[in-house]
Amino acid sequence: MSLDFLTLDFFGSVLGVALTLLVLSYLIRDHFLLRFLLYGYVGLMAGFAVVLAFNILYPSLILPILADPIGGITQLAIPLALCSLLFLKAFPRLSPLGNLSLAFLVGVGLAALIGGAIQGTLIPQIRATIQPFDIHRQATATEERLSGLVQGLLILLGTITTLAYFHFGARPQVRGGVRRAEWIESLSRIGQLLIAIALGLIFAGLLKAGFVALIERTQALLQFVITLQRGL
Amino acid sequence: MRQPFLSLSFSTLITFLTGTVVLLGYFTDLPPLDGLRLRFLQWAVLLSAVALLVGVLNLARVHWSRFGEGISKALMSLAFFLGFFVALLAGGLLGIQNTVTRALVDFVIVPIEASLFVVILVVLIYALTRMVRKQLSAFNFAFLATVVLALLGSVPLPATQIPFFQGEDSPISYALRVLGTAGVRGLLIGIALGSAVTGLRVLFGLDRPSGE
Repeated sequence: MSLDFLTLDFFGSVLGVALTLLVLSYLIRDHFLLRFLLYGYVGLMAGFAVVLAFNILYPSLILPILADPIGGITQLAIPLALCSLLFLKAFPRLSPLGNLSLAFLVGVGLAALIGGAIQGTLIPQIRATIQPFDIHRQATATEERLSGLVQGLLILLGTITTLAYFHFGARPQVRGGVRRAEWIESLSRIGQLLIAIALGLIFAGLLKAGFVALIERTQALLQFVITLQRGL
Repeated sequence: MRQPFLSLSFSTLITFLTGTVVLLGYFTDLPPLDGLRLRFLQWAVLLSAVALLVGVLNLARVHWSRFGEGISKALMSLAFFLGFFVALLAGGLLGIQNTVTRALVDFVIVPIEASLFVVILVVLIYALTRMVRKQLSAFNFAFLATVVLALLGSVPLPATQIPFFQGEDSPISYALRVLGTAGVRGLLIGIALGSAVTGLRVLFGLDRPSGE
């Protein structure tokens, strides 16, 4: 069976326009059709998640066993056992048996998280912060080196004040209550402003992405209207 | 009191051992540990796929049970199963490269996701106006000013630029870049430190986020 490409394109565009209008109608009010659509969308995503999981498991776990049952099971005994135990989590009465696999998964996941945080974020960010102060750094001109140094100093101070905002070590006061040291309070006030600026930039980025989506949807709607006017 | 089949300490021990092996594999050059780390990571990928299947199975079970809870809930769950089987048919049987699957992505998933993003945009703008109306503290003012300046700095104008706002070397752009980098760097270092410490606490069994 072959689908006519133009027909598929036309009916697909009609469907796309209808779905766009349906989702945007949420801005007026929530209604049954929209909820029906969103439940269907969740189902679609769940279905694709199953396909994704199958595409991971089939070549690594199922195919080797189908190709060579004895050798495959011998070679993959541990992951097969762990996967089988974890699958028991789907059945409430047998669920505790899956704790072993879950413990393994949590252990590996945490180690990857710690390793990723240190190697992927902490070290590169600290290196980027101290790099402008590297005296052996090659620069084309003194002026450029100086501007880089000033920028680096500002970023270093900003980073320190931002981190000071998250310092929660407080001391008991004579008049009662607990309070952070005065100099940390002062630094953290500047840090709070820098966090506001950073979050503002992230928010502006989100808004820009939203505007891009709005333009793309408006363009699709207009394109559909133009196609209709031209008589397909 | 009845003890669970696998005691808590045994699970914690497994977590500690696997986590330590993977961590040592990350930070040392010992070939056996590195090989073991890679093998453990491969198994974790397989386990994640199984965990995904278990989660979807649980979701499907919940929706199946909703069929007996009134017409409205049953219809919603019907929509779920319709979407679910369409995705299984398209992604599983026809394949990702099939015309129908690609059409499903282009004409159903992309319009829904892009439209949801537009809804989010409206909600974000509404939240911003609410924040301004409610209280304009120094933090709020810095946040709002940054949003406005960053948006003004990225407005595409034909053959012209807004003075002081647009261009790599403009003062506003420079200030936002430097201050924003400082703030984001502080946040990233803070998040990384927090993640590492929390991860180590859970790894050593000092914290149990699952509440077991």
